[in-house]
Amino acid sequence: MIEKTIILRCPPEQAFQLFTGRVSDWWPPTHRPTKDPESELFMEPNGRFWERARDGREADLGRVINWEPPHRLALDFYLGTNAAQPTAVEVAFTPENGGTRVTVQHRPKPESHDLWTQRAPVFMKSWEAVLHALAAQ
Amino acid sequence: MHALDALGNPVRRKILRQLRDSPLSVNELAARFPISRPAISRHIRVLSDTGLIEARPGPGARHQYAIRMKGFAPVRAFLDEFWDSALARLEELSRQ
Repeated sequence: MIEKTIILRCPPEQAFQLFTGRVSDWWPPTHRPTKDPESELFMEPNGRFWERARDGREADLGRVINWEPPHRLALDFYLGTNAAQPTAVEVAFTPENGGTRVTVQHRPKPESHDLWTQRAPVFMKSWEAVLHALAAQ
Repeated sequence: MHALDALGNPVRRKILRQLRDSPLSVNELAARFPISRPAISRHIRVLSDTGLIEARPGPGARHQYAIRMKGFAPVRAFLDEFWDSALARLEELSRQ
């Protein structure tokens, strides 16, 4: 399991709002399935969790499994794997010293368990593309 | 250094092209380049530190270097790095 935690200097309501409402602003531009660093990302209470590139291409990033503002959020995650083999993300928002402790726990699911220690398919693809380009030179 | 940075250098790309055809020792590689053997060794070190190539036992006691097909991080490491970067950005966002 991966566990990460940070303290934000805002109350849980605002922390939850930042995490779910401004995904485009915190999601690293280097890790976007559409490869558009300025794409828009959406996390919706109804379950959709997706990306839209500036040219209109769309990609699913996962699914929202549990939406409990301002305490908890659970997601199925496709980044690094795929929709058939999602990983599971749980985010907890806990009040602490007037701010909010945000804790992310990220685990493989039974269907992605074997992938956890393997190479990310997205990166394998990049590497194959690099080798292909090298071969063409 | 990241694997993609390692690829930013023309000598290192040329080394990778040579190794695509067959594994080679440092001496064999050095013979194909107009630069010094220590310079070749430094490039080899960068390529192997970033996981793009790996040493293998070759003929005699010599190491040979070969392309490492699994040169990128496992899913777990990839996601670990993702969250470090994501949460740092979230923290910064919360201070605005």
